[in-house]
Amino acid sequence: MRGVGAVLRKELSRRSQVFLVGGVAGVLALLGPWVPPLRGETANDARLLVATALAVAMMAGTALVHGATSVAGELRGRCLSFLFSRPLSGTAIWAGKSLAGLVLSLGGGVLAMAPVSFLAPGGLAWVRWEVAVWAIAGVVAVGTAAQLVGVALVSRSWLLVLDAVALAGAVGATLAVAASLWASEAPVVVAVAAVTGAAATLVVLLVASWAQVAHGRCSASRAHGAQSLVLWAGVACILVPLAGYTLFLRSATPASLRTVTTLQPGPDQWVVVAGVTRGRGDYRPAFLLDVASGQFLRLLPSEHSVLDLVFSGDGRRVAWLAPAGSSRQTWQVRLALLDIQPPEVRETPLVFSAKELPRRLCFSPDGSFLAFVEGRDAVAYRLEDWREVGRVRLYTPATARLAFSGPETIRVEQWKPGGGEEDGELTIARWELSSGRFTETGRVAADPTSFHLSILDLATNRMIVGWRTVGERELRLCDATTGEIRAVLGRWPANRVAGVLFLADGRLVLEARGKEGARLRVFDPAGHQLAELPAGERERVIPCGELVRGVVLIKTVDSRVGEGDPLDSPSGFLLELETGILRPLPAGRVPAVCGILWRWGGDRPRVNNLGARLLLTPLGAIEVLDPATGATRPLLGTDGQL
Amino acid sequence: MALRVQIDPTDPAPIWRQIEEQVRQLVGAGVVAPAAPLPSVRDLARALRVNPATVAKAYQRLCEQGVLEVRRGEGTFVAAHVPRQDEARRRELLAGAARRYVAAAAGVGASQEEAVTAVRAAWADGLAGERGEG
Amino acid sequence: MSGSQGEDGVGGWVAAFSGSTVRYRRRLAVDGVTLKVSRGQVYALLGRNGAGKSSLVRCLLGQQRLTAGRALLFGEDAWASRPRAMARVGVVPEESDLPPDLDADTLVAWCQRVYPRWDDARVRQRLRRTGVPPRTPVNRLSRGQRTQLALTLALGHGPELLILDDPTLGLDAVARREVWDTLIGELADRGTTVFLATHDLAGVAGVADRVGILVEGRLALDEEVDALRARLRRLVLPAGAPWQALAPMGILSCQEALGGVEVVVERFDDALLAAVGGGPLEVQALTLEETFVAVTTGQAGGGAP
Repeated sequence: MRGVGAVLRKELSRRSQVFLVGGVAGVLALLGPWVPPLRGETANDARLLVATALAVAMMAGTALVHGATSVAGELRGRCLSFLFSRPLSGTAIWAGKSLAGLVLSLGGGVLAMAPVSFLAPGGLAWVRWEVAVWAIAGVVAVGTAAQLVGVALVSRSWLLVLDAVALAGAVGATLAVAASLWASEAPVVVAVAAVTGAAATLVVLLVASWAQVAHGRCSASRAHGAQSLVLWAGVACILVPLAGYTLFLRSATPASLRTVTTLQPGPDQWVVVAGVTRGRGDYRPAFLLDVASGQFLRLLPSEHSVLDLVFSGDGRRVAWLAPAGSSRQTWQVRLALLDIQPPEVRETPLVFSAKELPRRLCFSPDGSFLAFVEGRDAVAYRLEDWREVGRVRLYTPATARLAFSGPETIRVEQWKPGGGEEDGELTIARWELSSGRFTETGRVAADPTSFHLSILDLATNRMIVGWRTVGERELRLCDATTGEIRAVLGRWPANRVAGVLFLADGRLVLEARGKEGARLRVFDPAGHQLAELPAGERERVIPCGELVRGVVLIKTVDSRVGEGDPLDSPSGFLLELETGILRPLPAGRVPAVCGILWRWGGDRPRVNNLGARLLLTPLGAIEVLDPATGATRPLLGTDGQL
Repeated sequence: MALRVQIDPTDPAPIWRQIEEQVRQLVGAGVVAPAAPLPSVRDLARALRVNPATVAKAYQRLCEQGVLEVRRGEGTFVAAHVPRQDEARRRELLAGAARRYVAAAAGVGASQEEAVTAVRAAWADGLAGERGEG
Repeated sequence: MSGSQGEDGVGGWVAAFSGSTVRYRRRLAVDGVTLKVSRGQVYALLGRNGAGKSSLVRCLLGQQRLTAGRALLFGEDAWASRPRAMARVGVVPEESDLPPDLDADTLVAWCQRVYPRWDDARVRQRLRRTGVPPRTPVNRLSRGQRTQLALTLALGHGPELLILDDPTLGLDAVARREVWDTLIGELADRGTTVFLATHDLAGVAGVADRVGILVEGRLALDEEVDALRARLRRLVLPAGAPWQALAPMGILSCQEALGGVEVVVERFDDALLAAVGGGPLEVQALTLEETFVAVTTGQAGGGAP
């Protein structure tokens, strides 16, 4: 240790003028307010700005110059043997020189900041340990890099060519890995990788500079050889595992999902899943999974890119919005299309800015047209050639809902404001794409808050709308085209959403409240109540899907909040409508899709929807229910601990 | 203090022997008086630009022969009573020097008379000079 | 070469090379050199410019790696044990490696902190005596002053071994004399072992105990000075003498001189002198310079260890 101190002292005494320069810079910083470009700032800000700029310049400059000359300069001037002829170990010599560079750089920087910091109020705000860490890391990086480059140049060895090639390779590999990690949309993973990589690189630089001094001793070419060996071996030891981890990250499969965070089933057997896997931090891989065969397609990671995904009615196509390439900053999205049979992802030429994000995507029945709300309009495109085939101005785009009622006909439902704030009505219109005619077909009396509670069954041309009365909402069954009220189904608290399900044979079930627990009311297609069945002892019941004809999958829960919010310890049952028999799902399973965001286009209820068959286990795994046998098959999640 | 010792690089004798012989001659000729101090090993080595070990060896041999004596803490001195030089040795030295002189005289083509005359003249000069300095 | 054989303290050898080879890319600078330096010995390594002397010195100092073979200091590998060994070694390199902007006082104070033992009074006295100004930066000192400073710093910690690479290079006669004075004084006071590479043959002739001569990287001669002086002779014979009869002594050269023939022989033998008849005969020793020229121009070589 005394050796390190001796070398440090010698280096400092040689370069003591750095402190003088630092002091002068500190004094010069006081003249900040007089610097022309800073005339607009306050005096304190100007001084601090100048002082910071000078301090950073001093630290970088000193680190660079000291690093480049402390070893390389002495090798060239043949003065390094002075130290090696003394009882000083190579490590002590290296440590002394490196510490000297650190002390000189940081000392110069502190001196440059000192006068301003003490004179200006709040000037000591920069004295934080994060600033120290960054400053030290920066100085060490610049200094060791300069030391390595300096010796490489002085040695005049052919190794310099090798170094250049290796550097190009390393930079290329780093950029590739960084791009791949950046595209993974996992900020924590990226941050950890970046910090680990940077810290490891610093360590490699330090070890390389040590090897240069301890093993190169007084020979420049030997020093160059030692440093290159350590440097590139070290860099490889960083890049190879990092690249390997990136590959591991991108190689996630549905089977590696531990917890499912996104579950969007299509009508048939395809489902979009995304979730957390082991060892991948906050990376959320997303897949399009065929529940029957286990075949899957990789989608972009889910957190930010799978927006507004919609399946076509026949389940053969999926449309979603993905970030448009590199323009993530301007938040543009591109419409992407996925044909499932055969699996092929197509990026469409349709790009939108964030202000005009398409919403309410829906497919035509044969999947050849796509309509959605864009900005203030409803737009329809032909998928074959991406031509806009229709555009119509909407009254209130935020409230509009679109559904194809025919091959080229779209039912448009939207709130049309009246004279006053509360006035207005829900209008239903038919928009024919071939002719472009937009005809209003009906109106429904509703209030401004009820439009998002309308539930549509296009097959039977019915819709349910809530009409708010004092503190309550009246649920009305209406004609979906004319808006005529056919029946009143019941009353519901104004701030809640009732669970509703249209069945395949035209009946519908509706959640009702009872004293001993929730109940399910069964109505005939015209809206007359057929039965009221008890549905467990919990406060609420949500019908999730019709499993087989006459058997409904339900979820019951005690909850004070509406559907869509996290519900605690729900229970799942199969309710036979004819008999009212309630069979609990095996071992704590609940329907997976209710409560997890899902949407599929078509608004057509079907028996045996995939959504009706997905179950969530208490451990967070996803299972598929076989309606015929009632047996469950594991599908996803908890990493094989099913 | 100086001592008129000269190392001849072309003399095949080892250096320590040259020093030994010359010191003995100086003592024997009375140039250096009995009990007089001699230069230290260090000083003589520096003056002659030879390894001190060489000078030390010469001094040691002379001490063994009783020509010099070492007084602890004071240095090396000429012995108070110098033993007479070995007769045979004396003659051997004289003969050797005479042979060398004859070779030199023959080299310039001098005759025996000229050579002897020169010797006499040199003797007269040198002796007077040495005695004068004493 | 095990440590027990030559470890210092047992009166064994202090520095040694064993089969040492140094190769720079294609050039073989040192080829299979084996030599030993005993405690208290003054070993002079001679050789023409570029013969490999400096490479060997650097390897002995642990500042350069041998391509093959070993360099040992106090029984341990010079490269591996360098920091430990340097506490017992004083070094004066060929070109001054003193930091140019520091002055003598600063350097002395620095060395005092670095070495475990340091004789400060003696160092300052020596600097005063040799006229090295204490406050002048090294790059403003004369060459002789720089050498004296380097030598003083090398001796200040009382080293057991002195390693010098051409210490009198480029010095005038007075400065040269001062260097030899200091060295001989040190030898007399402390019996330091010395390993030096030099061109100053006249200066080193009387001081060296043992001499090694490098010719194109190979050790052509490695012998005690006394033994060398004992066997190499120049014989001056009268013209017409049968000098060929001296062949058993190993004739190195034969030259016609004024009034005679000069024959240089390798293995002088008193007994064989009779073969040349009884004519006048001069027998002279070769100076170190003449020996060196004879060896490096390929006329003589070998030598008993």
